[in-house]
Formats: sequence, C-alpha cells, structure tokens
Amino acid sequence: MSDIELARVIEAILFVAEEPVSREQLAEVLEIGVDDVDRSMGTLRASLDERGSGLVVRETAGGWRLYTRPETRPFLESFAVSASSARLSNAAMEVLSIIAYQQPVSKGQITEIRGVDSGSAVRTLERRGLIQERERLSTPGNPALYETSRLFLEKVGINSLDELPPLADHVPPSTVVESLEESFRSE
Amino acid sequence: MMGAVKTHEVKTAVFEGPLDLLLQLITSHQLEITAVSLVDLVDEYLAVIEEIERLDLEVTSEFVLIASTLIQLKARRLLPTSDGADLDEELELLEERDRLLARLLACVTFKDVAAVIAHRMDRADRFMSRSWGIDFPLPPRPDTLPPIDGDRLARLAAELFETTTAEPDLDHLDLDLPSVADAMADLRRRVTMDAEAGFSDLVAHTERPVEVIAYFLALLELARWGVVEATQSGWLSEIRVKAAVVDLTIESEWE
Repeated sequence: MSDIELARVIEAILFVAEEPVSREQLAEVLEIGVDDVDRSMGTLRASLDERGSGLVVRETAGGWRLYTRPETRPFLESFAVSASSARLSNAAMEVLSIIAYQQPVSKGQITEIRGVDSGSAVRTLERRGLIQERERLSTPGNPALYETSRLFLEKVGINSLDELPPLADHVPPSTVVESLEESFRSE
Repeated sequence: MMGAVKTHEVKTAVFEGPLDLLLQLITSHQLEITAVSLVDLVDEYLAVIEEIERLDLEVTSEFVLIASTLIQLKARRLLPTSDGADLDEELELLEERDRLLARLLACVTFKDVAAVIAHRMDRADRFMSRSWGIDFPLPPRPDTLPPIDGDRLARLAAELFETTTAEPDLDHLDLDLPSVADAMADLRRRVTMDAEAGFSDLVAHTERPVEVIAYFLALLELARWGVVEATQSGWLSEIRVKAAVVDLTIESEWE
C-alpha cells in the first residue's frame, strides 16, 4: 500500500476506535513497520490540516485518537448536552493529584494528606473512570489501593505518568517554608 | 486581633478540613506581616472551631487533634523554660509539630499541582472523541429483505400463525416399530426349512406395512451376509428366497 492509502486506512481505524490506538497496534494490523506507521500518520495529520478538517489526530495515553478540533467545541455544546462535561471540584482535583503522584494509595492515606475525609471525591473520580482500584490490602478492613486509569492520561493529554509536572516544582517556595517553620519552631 | 477575627468569620464556610483552615489562616497573615505569629494563629484557629460549634456543625476529631498540637506548641512558647519538663513528652511534641508541618507542606504542594492538572484537563477537554466503537450490535441490512407489499406480508403472517399455533399432531406416527433383528431371526429359521419361498408368503402373517418393510430390510441384510439367496425375475414380480449353502454366523448390526 502506498503512503496515502495507509493514511486512509489509519484514518478509518481511528474513526471507529474507542480509545487511543498505539503505534504497535497499527503496525500489526497493517502489517508494516512502526516507522511506516509514523510516516503515514504524518501524512494523515497533514492532510487533515490542509483540508481544514473538523477533526485532528492527537497523541495521548500512549496512542493516537481522532478528536474534534477545539474551535468546534462551542458548536458541539449547542448540538449535544453530553458535550458539556461538568468540571471536577477543587476537592476532587486535589484527591486526583494525590492519587496521580502517590499511586497506589488508599483512602486513608489520601485523608491523612488532606486532613479531611475524601471518600466521596474518590467515588466521584472512580465513577468518572479517572481512577481505578488496583488491589486490596490484607490489613483489617481490606482497604482498596487506587491508581489512575488510562482515561486519566487521555483527559490530561499526556502519554504516561512520567509526563506529569514534577511534584518538586510545586513545593511551596523556600520563603514560605521558612516562615512556616520559623513560626512553628522558634524556641 | 479584631481584624483577624473578621477574617475567619468570612472564611468559615469556605475551608475544607483543619489543614485547609490552617493554611488559609497562615496565607491571610502573610499578606499583612512577614512572619506568622504562632500565638495568633492558634487563637484564630480555636476561634474558628468555636464558631463551627456555635453553628452546630460537626467538629471532626481531625480538627481537635490539630488543635491540641497547636495549644501545646503555644503553651510551650509562652513558657519557654519549664524546669523538669518530661523529655519524652517534649520529643513527642516536637515530632507532632514536625508532622503537622510536613502535612501542611504536602497539602500546599498538592493543592498547587492540582490547579496545574485541572488547567491541563480543561485544555484537553476542548478536544472531543467518539465514545462508542465499531462493536455494537448492527441492525439487519435492509437490502436482505425481498420486495414485499402489505397484502403478501399479511398472508405470510396468517400462514405462519396458523402453522405455529396448531399443536403438533402425532397420531399419524406409529411409534411401535417392528424389530428388524426379530424379522431376521424369523426369516433364517423359516427359509432354512422351506427350500424356496416367495417373499409375499414369508410376510403373509404380518398386519402392517411397516412390518413388511422390516422383513424386507431383514431379507436384504441376510442376502448381504450370504445366508439367503434372493432372486427377482422382473420389476414388481415376486422375490424368490431360498437358503444359501453356507451358513455364516455373523453378528447383525441391527441388534
């Protein structure tokens, strides 16, 4: 198959795919090398751009997927109710961040960090498919350990957890830490 | 002091949990003064807890636990050189204090990074994807239907309902099938005795056609074995049967 023919088949596959499709998966289906997949993907992306398509190919969660072009979003919201997704609360976002960086982590550990019960936020995130239970501890009560899902990567727009912003960058600046320590520590 | 009281009156409903409250109290001070006074901080914290109780809201154990650490720290600050202080208690308090500090810092860190991730999610949310793939049950293809009009459809339906609603009639079935093996045994006995016999004589005693069929199958089987010899001179003429010379004893597959 020529490059353009491959691009056409890839477009069709991405159209029906329910989740991002990996480079390796495409190579296997098309019986071509991963380099050829990359080249044809480039061709597909260029052709979508050239004709000003309403769709774009994005690379997230370790694969490619067809998405609507951001500019079309307001019209999609007018078109379908489901297009407008409810934003997560600050509490849910905090819990999600803790799970993202500390996974696998239990509800108890999350509560310890936040100083407030986080059960309902965990349930919300689980219902939205952003986190999932990885395993259960054998300690009393068999608490569940949570991890982030593949959907989480897709929703944040990254390929793997390594691409999360480094946590060290978000530790409060030294001036804040020092003044905190001073007020608590000064003898 | 009065100004501070005002501050947390406004914020009472906004914070989430004791750590959040502490952080808010600290940051509200940082806007005004360089260093936070622990004594003021503890007073404000306790004032908010009183406010929560006054509003009849639940003061969780977490609030109380942190309050007790703060009170101990404050007491220690006010009494810097307490002679004969229990060294174990002292260390315990310092540990508790460091733990609280670490929790505060972790809390601030995750609040900060949560805002960044929320921002990224907002950005990625502008892209939408299809949520269903190819593997849902497909409806039958319309072009597999033959051309049909209403009348024909009604006729077909009527026929179908008639045949499917009627109870199946089993009366025509005679399930009392004769045994081919028995017929073979009878034939072997009688053909040996008679030198040659007509098939119609051999089945003269039968009452039902199905018994004749059993005898015919038995005859074919015996002929195949070479136990009997059967000859027929022409179409629909009498089958002549006589015993063959060799009598083989082979188990019949009809048994």
